[in-house]
Amino acid sequence: MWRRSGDVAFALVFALAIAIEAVPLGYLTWTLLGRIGSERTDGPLVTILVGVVASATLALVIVMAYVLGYQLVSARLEAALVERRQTWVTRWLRVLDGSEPEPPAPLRREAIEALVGLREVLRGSQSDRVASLLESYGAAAAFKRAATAGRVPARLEAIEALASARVPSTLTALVRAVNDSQPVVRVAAARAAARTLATVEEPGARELGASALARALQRGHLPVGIVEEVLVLAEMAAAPIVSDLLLRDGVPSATLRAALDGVGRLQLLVFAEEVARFLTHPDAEVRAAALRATGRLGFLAETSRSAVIAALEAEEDFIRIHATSTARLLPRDQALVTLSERLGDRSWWVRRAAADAMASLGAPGLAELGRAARSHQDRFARDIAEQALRERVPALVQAVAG
Amino acid sequence: MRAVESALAGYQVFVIVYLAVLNLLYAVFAYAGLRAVIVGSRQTSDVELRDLLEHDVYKPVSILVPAYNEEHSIVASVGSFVRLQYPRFEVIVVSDGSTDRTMDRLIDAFALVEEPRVWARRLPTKPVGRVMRSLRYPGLVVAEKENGGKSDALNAAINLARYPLIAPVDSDSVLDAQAILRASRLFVKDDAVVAVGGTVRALNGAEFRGGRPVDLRMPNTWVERMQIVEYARAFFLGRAGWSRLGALLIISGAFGLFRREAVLTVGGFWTETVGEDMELVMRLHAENARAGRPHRIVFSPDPICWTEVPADVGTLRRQRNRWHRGLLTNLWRHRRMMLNPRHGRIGMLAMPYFVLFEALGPLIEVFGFLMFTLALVIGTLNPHTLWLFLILAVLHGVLLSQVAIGVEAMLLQRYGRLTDRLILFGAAFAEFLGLHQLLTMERFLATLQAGRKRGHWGEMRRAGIPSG
Repeated sequence: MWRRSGDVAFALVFALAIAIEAVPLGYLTWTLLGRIGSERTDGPLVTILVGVVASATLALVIVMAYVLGYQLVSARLEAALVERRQTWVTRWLRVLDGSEPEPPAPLRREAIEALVGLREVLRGSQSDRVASLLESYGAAAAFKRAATAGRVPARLEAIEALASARVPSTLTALVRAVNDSQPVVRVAAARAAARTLATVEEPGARELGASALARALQRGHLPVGIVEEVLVLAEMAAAPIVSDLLLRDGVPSATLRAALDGVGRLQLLVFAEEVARFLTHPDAEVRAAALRATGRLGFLAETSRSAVIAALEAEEDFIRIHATSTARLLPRDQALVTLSERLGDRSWWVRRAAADAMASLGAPGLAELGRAARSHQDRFARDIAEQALRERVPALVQAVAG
Repeated sequence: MRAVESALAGYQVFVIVYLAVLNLLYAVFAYAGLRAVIVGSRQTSDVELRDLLEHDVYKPVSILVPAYNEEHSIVASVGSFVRLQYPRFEVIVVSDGSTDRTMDRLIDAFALVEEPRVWARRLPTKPVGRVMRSLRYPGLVVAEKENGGKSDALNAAINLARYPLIAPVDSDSVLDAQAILRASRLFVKDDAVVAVGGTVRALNGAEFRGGRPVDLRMPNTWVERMQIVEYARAFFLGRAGWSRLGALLIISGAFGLFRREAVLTVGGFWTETVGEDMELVMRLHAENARAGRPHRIVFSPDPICWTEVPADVGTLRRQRNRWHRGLLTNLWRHRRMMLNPRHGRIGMLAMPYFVLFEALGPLIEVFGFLMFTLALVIGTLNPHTLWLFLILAVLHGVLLSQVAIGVEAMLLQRYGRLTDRLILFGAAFAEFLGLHQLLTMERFLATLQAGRKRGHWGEMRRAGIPSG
């Protein structure tokens, strides 16, 4: 979306232009304030004004010259860079298939960019070879250094490169950056660390990395969505991270919610018992996340049924919504009765969840929905049941027609 | 006579100090905005967006399109909305009692069929008639309702919305394919974010393919060209700067993304203003601050919305008149936030700025012209001094415009021809040689009409979004 070259320089040019303009302008304002109540003489004022106008003109010329120059050269430079990068992609592909020797170090910027790009595109052993090339040429170490010190824009660029490079040796630095003072850096580093961790194949190293990242996530107070994303991106390493977060005491509730949602999203059935423990958590948001996770796992232990049934009567709408969706996991007859009752809930969203849950139960659920649409005592329950049935009709027709 | 001279001299000094402070503030916003663009451009990477599409980590979005007599642009704009790059979204078009062929065009273009539907009526609105669903795009819903104004149509669309994020958009706008993707990221990245505003750019003159602008060309009239500069200044410097300072008061009605629950909690859009976009943002600030809820309202330069800007002076004047009346109504409604420390930077910085420089600006400027003219006539002001002041004011305004043009040049999709860039340079100068003064006069008139024309929208003449 944006050209990244030349923007920092433009900010400096603008700062210079404003300084050129502001100093004489400040002097003018000061002079004018001093004239309040005194005898006026326009002579010196005109001289100062001429100076201010001249400085403003100079500032304007500087900015316009930069913009015009930028317009003229940026597209040409970028096109040349893309061409050079493409040449390097071709060359690297020959290196990877052994038809050309590895080029001598040091590498130019476009050579490294081409290599980072290939790491994203290639799969399997070739991709691993690219990672080791990035390491052996010192590119990974250079990105690591840039990611941990300096100005925020440069650090973000380096972290982005590391997220693509996914070189295991950079994991420690990335995990450290998850606790950076800048929120934007924390978020970028967490994602890059998760992507890198996903490439660590040795189980012991993966466990260690996952544990370190889990601790960093707790300390980093990252938003729920980002922790969830980290779990998804960590792939095989998600389970040890979740394990660390669910079993540890004192984990912030936002992180806990994200871990529970991660369990559901990634279908980590191994944590079903742990999830059940949170169905009665004092924090309503955590309870809702546990209900969501249970619903997504599709498994409700007998010992947890009472917690779900209790949640159906919760004061908070959002708890009842998730409890209603999860109630489809109760024994079928109990589920149909419970969901039919929820069709008459005071919240439209709970009614909607009940209708959807009933429809998901197959023929018995659809039959019960039909009965509710015809004869439920609550008018709103009849309406929502009818709508849910109507929405299923195209899908059913399609299923029958093939 | 002596007293008149003193009064004139005093006012002159006041105007000059006023302009100096205003320009200083503009420079601060511009620098903050530029910084925000630099960081923002690196915040959401292509790798990140690809991950988002490949994995199941996103918040579904309901795009809300209020439409009133939009037969010329509705098919093109809705077409751009249904083709967005986003894993899960719905488009809800509400025809607000349109009397032209808006509904017919939608029915023909998207194969709409009537669908009885039940929904939660959490916001009161004028009665909604038939609700239709598209056979071509399952996520497209069109509702017809009695005319109640834009806010009322938006409230009806919110009632119909099913997803946690809502994106009110104008029906004469086109969204960039990744606009929702980029804006919705900010809700994932920060739990406190309740609303995100994006950049609005002028689509006039652009060549369209697949329902989206592919080649930017200068429009034919200087009125449109000057608005390109104006929009760049307002979004890349103004909004970005305010957002960076944590005091954003406006999210454009053309495109914004909100947490639906946050909007419902404060009661949806207020129907008594013609500046409903700004009013909602102000109310979100006010209510959340009162309830002690942490909240952030941010601008991101990345998500881009293309809109058709007025091509004739008459329509432009009516539009600016409406905007200014909306501003005055909203500031008056939320006057308790003014200089109220409980509202932080909104109360102590944004509100005073908007009152002093945006609401009262036209009055001060028009009286300034009158006073300077009077001072010239009675001989208490040196004509050289006056000319130099005017040149200085123009130069500073042009400088900020050129910076905004510079930011625009950093976009991958920019005005690529050198001649276009030179025309933009020219438009930045030309804006201060007539259009600015004309629009200041219009805002001055709007101030006088604020009470009398309350709620009056005014006729907007449009050519329509080009097909292709």
